[in-house]
Amino acid sequence: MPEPTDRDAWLAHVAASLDLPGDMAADVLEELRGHLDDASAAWRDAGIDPVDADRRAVRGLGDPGALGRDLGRARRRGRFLLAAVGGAVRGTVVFGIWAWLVLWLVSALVGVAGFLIASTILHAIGSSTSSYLGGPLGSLMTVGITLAWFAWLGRILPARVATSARRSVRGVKVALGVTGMIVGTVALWSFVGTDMDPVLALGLPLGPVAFLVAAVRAPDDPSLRLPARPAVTLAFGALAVVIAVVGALATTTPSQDGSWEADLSAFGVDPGSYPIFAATDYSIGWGGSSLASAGDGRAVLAEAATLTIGDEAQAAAFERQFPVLQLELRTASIVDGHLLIGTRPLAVASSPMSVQTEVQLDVPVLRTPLDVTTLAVAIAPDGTRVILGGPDGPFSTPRWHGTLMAWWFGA
Amino acid sequence: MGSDPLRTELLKGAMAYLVLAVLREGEQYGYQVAQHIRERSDGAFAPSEGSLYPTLHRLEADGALTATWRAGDKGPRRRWYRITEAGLGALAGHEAEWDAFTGAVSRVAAPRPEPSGA
Repeated sequence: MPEPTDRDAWLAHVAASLDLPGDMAADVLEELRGHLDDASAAWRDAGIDPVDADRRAVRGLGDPGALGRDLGRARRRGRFLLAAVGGAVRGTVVFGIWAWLVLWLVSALVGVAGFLIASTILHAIGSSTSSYLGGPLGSLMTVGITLAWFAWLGRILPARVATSARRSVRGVKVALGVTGMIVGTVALWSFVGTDMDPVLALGLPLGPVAFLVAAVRAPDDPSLRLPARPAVTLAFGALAVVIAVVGALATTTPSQDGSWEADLSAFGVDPGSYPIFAATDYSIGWGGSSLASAGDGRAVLAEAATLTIGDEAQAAAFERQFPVLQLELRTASIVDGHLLIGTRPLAVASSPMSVQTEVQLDVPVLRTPLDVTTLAVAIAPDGTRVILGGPDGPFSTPRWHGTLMAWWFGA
Repeated sequence: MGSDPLRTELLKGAMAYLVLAVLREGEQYGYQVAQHIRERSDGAFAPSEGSLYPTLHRLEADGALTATWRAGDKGPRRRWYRITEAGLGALAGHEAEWDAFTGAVSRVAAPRPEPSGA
């Protein structure tokens, strides 16, 4: 390797002091190189030997550090901070939206492939995938996309901000990485509300960290395209995770399409044990089949149990024996065709018995959704429980909705 | 002569003026500008050529000059500077300021006549 001439060393020193984006720095250096060519040629024309002519030309331009700093300042005239913020906002909006769409498209394709494969496997073992996509699988995909989005943005933005602010990527990436991590963390923790679960609660905070790491390692001229090999690795990795998750769920969550039986003897007696039920014209109805979030950290059972009794006289007799109608929400799961019901109710609501009795349950939103069922129970003064309706379902409680701050600290 | 501190300071303050004045006569690239300043001052102004480029870029950023890359006579491309309307306006301002400044300096520095009669 040849020794650098004075000219090369001098230009390298200027380049190190410029702190300008790559293309602007290249322009400046080319201009100075041209000047050195002209000055050196003039000295040679005056009879100076080439090596000395080069040295004189370099000396004529003075201190390379001072010149680099002066030129950098001259090119950065204007409001650096405003330009940097403008570049960051513009880059985030333009490239952020683009990357988010691309990542979701890629993930959707991987998800569909995984879903089809998993569905085939599950169908073969007699289960279904109908309830899986909204659970941990969807959360894993969201975390993966969020991490990839932050990392991609961290890789792209330093060059954009550097160009806007007329600084080198080297000069902005650490500051931008730290700023982006702080802004991203505040936004994610305080303002972004979503259907949260443990996977999201643990995975989403890593997004701003991914931004910082990617920004610090950002190249001077990043490509907008995903590198092929990591993209393929990521896609197959995601596919493996999808299949693994669905497979794991298939071993613990049975199909809800099949029939099941429930042994309710632990929860009350059958109406047939009491003659009044045979003598009373009654019916019990359910308004719906799912819980809905009330938006304030609570959920409302959209379906209320309504007991309707034929006439006033029957209702009066009925009320004397069973003055209370109680609605109970209990955990439930199906194992080998049997509905197993939780022994302790998650929530209970009751109402005095009348011709038409409606009971509605308000239950807290659970951080980890559970499969539940409902029982409508007539309760006698001596505590005897008669199961009038249910079990219904099982169906899942609504997903916890809110910010990371609320999830972790209850704010 | 070029190392005279007073001259160096004056030259630094007047560099934008000199650059605009030279470029008023036509498009030139950096090395040519430096040569013309040197030649037209009969060597009295031998600016550190390094100080010329920040001035050129600052004037360009301010809109007083435009710059374009073009191949020079000797082959490699050079960055050619051209004065703009804004640059001509700035030059007129510099000229007026310089006249006022040098006039004031001359008046202060001129020997005062001896008081008569006392």
